[in-house]
Amino acid sequence: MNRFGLPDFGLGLGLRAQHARELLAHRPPLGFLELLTENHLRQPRRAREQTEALASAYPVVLHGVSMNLGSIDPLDRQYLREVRELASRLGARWISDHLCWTGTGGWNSHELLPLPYTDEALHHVAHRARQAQDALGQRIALENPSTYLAFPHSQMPEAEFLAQLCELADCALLLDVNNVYVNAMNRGGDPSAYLAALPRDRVVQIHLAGHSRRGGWWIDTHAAPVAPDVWRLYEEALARFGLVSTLLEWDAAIPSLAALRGELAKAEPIRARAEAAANAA
Amino acid sequence: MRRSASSGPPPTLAELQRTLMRALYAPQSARTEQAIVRAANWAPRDALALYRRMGALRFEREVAREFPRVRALLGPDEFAALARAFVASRRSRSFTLDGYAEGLPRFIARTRGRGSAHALASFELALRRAERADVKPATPRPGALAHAPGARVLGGPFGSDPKGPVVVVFQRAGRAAWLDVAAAEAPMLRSLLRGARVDRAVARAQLTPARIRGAFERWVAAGLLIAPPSRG
Repeated sequence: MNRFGLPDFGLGLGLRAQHARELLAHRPPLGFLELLTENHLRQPRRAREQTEALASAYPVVLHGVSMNLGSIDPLDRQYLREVRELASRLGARWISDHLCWTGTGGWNSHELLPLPYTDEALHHVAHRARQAQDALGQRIALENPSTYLAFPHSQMPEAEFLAQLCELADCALLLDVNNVYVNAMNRGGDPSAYLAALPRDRVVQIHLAGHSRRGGWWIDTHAAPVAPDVWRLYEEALARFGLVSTLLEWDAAIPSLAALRGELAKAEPIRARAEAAANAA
Repeated sequence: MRRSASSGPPPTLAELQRTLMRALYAPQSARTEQAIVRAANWAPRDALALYRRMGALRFEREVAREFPRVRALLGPDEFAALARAFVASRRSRSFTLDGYAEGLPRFIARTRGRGSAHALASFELALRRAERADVKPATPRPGALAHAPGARVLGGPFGSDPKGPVVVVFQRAGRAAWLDVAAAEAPMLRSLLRGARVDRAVARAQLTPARIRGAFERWVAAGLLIAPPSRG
């Protein structure tokens, strides 16, 4: 169990617009839904009502890409106000975003840009994460991003940066297992050592997703089934962090809801083994 | 365990972010990129190009999502070139991509003229706005176009040929709808949408009474008008 007392909702899916009606009509069993925050901030009435109906049918969590915590720009207070209102209206169980920056000078690249892992960046992000949590009125979870470059002046590995950030900001972690794998393939490093460096009691959610190989890169495309190596890493993660709410992301060439649930079901035996191991210990 | 920092004065976070933004959006000016970027197995130039391309693709997909009919009209290759050019000309200042592609009709008019692609893009934009708008029915002036309850014209008439058929976008009971209007009937509807009194619009139409009645009946059936005029 994480230190925040946030529950394990089991297995969930990221809500995609093409599945909303089917979810409402048939209410298939799902542990929770993850909503992309920015897609739901300024919805027209009809879509807003649909989102609220889904939030009354399933536990929902919010996952954003525009908090821009790593940026040198001032925090966007209007954005935070709108996220807080949305979370309150939907009864979101928690709010997450990424360890990244998305732009400076008022520009938003809508890309999750990497940070150098330096003391300066650590204290900068920690300070802003605390400010964001104050503005949102709740603790946030930060996700380890997929990154395709690094900086020669970084002073510590990413996992150590995240562990220290959690302490300084008293925030939670959203562990993206696919990102750990993709980064290790692209930049080197041991995914198991990465997991071992993260604090046991701050991971409140896990992301699973598929990646693609393009021209020598492993790209976090969210457009393929979860790779066998990532499933193995997921099992390692559950062994370290216990049963954690687990979410399958799929963002391009999105399959049917039934197909997504089929992919998600592959996590069930892994969770069962983790639970059995925990009970035996 | 801590790694030792590389030699030379490291950039501050602010310097690094400004340099990276320049490298992403104006690559020819990013002379210092190699000093701040390390990618294990590739040249920094390639890593930055990957971010640049991923970012552009995200915006281009948004343009394609908002304008599927324009894409169908132009074909995937020509549309992709149009979307790339549009994205290269427009950066985002918003925390959401909503509305990012709204400038496409203006961009098409500026770069390609006011042909069928511009008309269709304008139509799709109006349709999107009608889908999203929380609007109240318009109150027509006395004698002017009488909207059905809940109906409000939100765009159009669209058509590249001033004498050709047009499309009108409107919201009906909270949903977006559109109406195809024949070339012969378009002047009458254009007059009505400009606020002309019904009797004057009809007089200008130079159509047979049966044709006028048929047009009004179709516009009523579509939910744009509440009733046809009592007399042709």
